[in-house]
Amino acid sequence: MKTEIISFISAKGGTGKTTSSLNFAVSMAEKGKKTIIIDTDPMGCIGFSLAQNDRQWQGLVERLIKKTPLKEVIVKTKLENLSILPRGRMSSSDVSAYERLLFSSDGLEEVLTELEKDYECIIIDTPSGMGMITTSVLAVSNFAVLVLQAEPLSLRTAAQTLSVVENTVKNRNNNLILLGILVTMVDTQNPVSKSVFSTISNSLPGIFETWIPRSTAFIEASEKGVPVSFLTGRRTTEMMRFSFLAEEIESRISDITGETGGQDEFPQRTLL
Amino acid sequence: MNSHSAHFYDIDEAVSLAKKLTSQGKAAIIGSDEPAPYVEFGSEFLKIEIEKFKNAKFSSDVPLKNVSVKDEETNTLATPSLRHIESEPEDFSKVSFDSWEKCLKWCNHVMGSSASFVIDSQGFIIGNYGRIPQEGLDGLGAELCYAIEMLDKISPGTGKLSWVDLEYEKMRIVGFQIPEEETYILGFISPGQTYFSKKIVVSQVVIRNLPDMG
Repeated sequence: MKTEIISFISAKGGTGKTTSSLNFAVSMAEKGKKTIIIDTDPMGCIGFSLAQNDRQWQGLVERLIKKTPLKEVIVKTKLENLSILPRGRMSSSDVSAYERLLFSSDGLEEVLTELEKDYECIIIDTPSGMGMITTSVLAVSNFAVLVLQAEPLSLRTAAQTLSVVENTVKNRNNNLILLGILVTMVDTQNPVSKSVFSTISNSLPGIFETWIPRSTAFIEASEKGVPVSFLTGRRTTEMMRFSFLAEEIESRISDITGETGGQDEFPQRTLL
Repeated sequence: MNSHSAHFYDIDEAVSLAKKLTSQGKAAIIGSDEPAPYVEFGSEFLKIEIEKFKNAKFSSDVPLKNVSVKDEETNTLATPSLRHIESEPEDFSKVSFDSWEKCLKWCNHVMGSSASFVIDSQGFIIGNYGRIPQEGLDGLGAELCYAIEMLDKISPGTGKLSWVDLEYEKMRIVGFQIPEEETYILGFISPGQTYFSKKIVVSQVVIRNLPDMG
């Protein structure tokens, strides 16, 4: 079983990394891929997104510090193919120690080695900034997705994020590939947001065709502690966007690795 | 607003980097040595200040009070202490293992490799650990076995070849031929930067434990 390790990164905070990675993970699982999302953000935002208390779940920290077996800290969801490896119970005062731990040990790589046996898709949510955690995550990922908010500040910091990816490819992980740039929080009613989106789309290579709008649906989902596609009511375009993104990402990976998915292979047939 | 061009946002560098980093352009990065436009921090700035760090006081050492959570049980669970993240130097004389699986796991950790494997005298992979390359290890194992056999002949009379370091453009592969009657070769893919200094330890520990491994 070939496992794809995809990290969602961004130098700027609040661009929608957690929302994007979580909803993308849901879409991959709904497509039948055995998927796990790892929360490496010291704030534990995946847990917060799912309306869990800061100390509700054990997770990565327990695994790294107390050597708790992974099966005891992985959270199985009601979605058959989706699991979560939460941040774990950590005091916010220990963030710098946690960062150093991830950076200076090979704990994360060991965790991934174990997970690769059971999962086809490992998605890693990273904190904002390009510090020790993000660089450690990039060092063990196959692919990176840059999450870029359709706002001027985010666009102006894009080069910083990309240069860290470049440095990682040069010095720590030759196999890392930037899968693409996901534009989020596009506000079509706001001329500045529209302009930035247009600039991004026309200038930067590797932009995903799927973009994520600024929408109240995400706030509602966050308030209820569910992925956006789990909201009640009619399917909205916001709910479907991550399915499109999953299709697009799978297709890009197939193009890069030269592998075609089993479902794309059809036998020769005759009509008459 | 329409005057907001790419130049206004100064994204020329981002465009250039994105072109290089997507799959088509990635080859240009590896080995490219363009001067950086910023001050470069040398590797000495990345060293962890171990002593300073060891003595640091972590908040998790302080008992948790007034914690409000849904599950009462979690009230009693302290956050794990991060005090011991820089472990004491390992006493290698006490390291023991009774299977190749455990041996490879330990070797992989010590060498800082992305993957480790062991080949028997016929060139077959009999165990592996870590992140195995997409193309698998079978071909690599057989070729490494053959290469070591050939290299053994370079200098007759100087003993059995023990270590080979193969530096490729994109990867380093290190092999260790265990100098015992029954030949096994340990292979390490992309070992960490300090792997060279770990060779003696790996040699000693593996040879010592070899009789116990089935």
